[in-house]
Order: sequence, then C-alpha cells, then structure tokens
Amino acid sequence: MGELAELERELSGLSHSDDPLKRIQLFSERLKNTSERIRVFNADGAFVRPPISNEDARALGFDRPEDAFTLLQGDVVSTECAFFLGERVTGCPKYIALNSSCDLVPERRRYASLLRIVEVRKDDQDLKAKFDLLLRFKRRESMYLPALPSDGGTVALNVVQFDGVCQIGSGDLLLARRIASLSLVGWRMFACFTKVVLARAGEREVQMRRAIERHPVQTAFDLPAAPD
Amino acid sequence: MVATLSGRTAAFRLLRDDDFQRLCGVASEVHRLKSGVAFLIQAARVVARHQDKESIEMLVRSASMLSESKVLPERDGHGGFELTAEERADSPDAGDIDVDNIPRPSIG
Repeated sequence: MGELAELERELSGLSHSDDPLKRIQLFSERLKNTSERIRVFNADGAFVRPPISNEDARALGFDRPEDAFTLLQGDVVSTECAFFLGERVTGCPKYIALNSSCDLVPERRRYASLLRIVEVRKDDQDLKAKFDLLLRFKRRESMYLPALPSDGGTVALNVVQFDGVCQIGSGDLLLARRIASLSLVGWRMFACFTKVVLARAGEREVQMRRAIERHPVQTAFDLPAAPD
Repeated sequence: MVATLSGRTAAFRLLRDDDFQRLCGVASEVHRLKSGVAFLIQAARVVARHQDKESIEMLVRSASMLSESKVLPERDGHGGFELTAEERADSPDAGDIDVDNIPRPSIG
C-alpha cells in the first residue's frame, strides 16, 4: 500500500465526489421558484434539442472517420427491443442512452445500456411537489427532463430513472426512433448524475475503509478439522 | 402499414414508426426462442436414438413448454414515479405553476 498511498490521496477528491451534483443543485437553488426553473430548463435548446445529426456535424467539419455516429450518449429514443429484468418492455417506452457516444458507434459493441424515462401526467396529485423536487435535483437517482413535443398532451414532465438499467442489442438500438438529443449542458448534467449514482461515498465509508487498512482487525477463520 | 410503393424492380412498404418499433420488438424475441428450439431439437435427437418411454416423454414435454411460451415475459411501459413521504413533506408550496401552460422545448 505504501507506494499507492499517494495515488489514493490524489484520487480521494475525484473518484467518489458528489461535487458535480451539488453544483447543479446550487445553480437551481439560485433560481427564484419552480416556475422560473421550468422556464429555464424547458426553453428551446436549453436542456434538450433536436437529434444531432451526423450530416450536420460533417457540415461543421467533423468529418473524420472517427467522428461518424448514429446515436449519441444522452439521446432520447423509443424502442420495443429493450429488456428490463428479463422482460421486454412494450408500449412505445422512452429511454436515454447511457453508454458513451464512442461505444454507440455501429459494430463497436454488441450490447448497450439504456435508462428508463418515466412520464408524469398533468393530473398527478403530487405534480407540483414532483416538479419542485426534480427541478431542485434533490433525488440522485432521478433526473428531470422536460415534456417533449412528441409526448401526449397529458404529459407534464419526464423523469430519467437511474435506478435500474435496461439492455438492448446494439443493432436493435440503431433502429430505435431518435426523439431528441441533450444539449451540451444537459449532456454534462446527465454525466454528473451518472457518475454520482455509480460512484459516490459518504465520509463515514471513507473513514471506515481507512481505519480498516490502518488497524487490520480481521482474523482468519479457524475451521474445525473435517471428521474422518 | 400506411402505403406500398411499387417500383419496376422492388416494392417498398411504408410503416408508421410505432408499428415499425413494435415489429422490431417482436423480431428481437427470436434469440429468446432459439434456445428453446435448440432444446427441442436435442430432445428429438435423443428420441431418434433411444425410443424409450422416458425419452419420448421428454420430447413431448419440451415441445409443450415451447408452445406454452408464446407469450414471452413482457411489461407494458415503465410504471410511475412516486415521491416518498419525506419528499412530499419536504416540498414547499410550489403553487405558482400553470399546469396547463407548461412550455415544451422545440425539437424540430
């Protein structure tokens, strides 16, 4: 451990930090109220935008072979080919692509991961409380997403669920309907949630792990000899 | 299906995207059925070699298992999003939302 102690110290502020999410929460707290947050995050191009096309990117000079893409991380798609806990999800469900964009290039990976997008309807009795909670980004495993033009008229907002990952064959994903892409800031916020959900730690866990490594108390099991 | 475009060398079917996604979903079930079919073929091979009562019974049972699994496990949609009691209690009055006029971003 001696040689690795310095590396551990260097990583301690990076690997499990929830600072990115705190910054998002701080930004949101500075906005006056829920209505103001809706205005900011639901504005055209603010959080979501039309699907980014490879043709548009090429026209801007991103035309190297490694620039080509069909789908990007954070794209909102609809497909009936994805599975959740072994069950195929039907009913035109929406998802957001979890993999990094470079892993969504055709024929690079066999499988991809998707997160579920749940709709909240206008007649939901907790609608205002849900808007408030999600637009303050208080729940780590749920991220706000505006209602999209293709959603039914009764949909008030969408929620990206980080609790539970769906799987899909990459070939099937490329046939999914692309509904929207995330804006640059939306993509960064999505990555912050992803990081915090996958790797965060309370200070107590850090203290516990340090204590265990400094004062090892574990002993080997003394198993009784097997009877002859 | 919305329309058929007939050309000299080929015909094209136009589908609504929802219908296309539904068909793709059903087609993606093929790999789940494959393992069942492989098991059935194996059972048939055993019967071809050993035509005893147990082998025939296994073939019949594996065939009926496959035929009964016409409806592979599916779930309709993703379910809902619910608040915990603490989250509901923690929510200040957000009564300034005009629910019927929530803006939606334009996505082309």
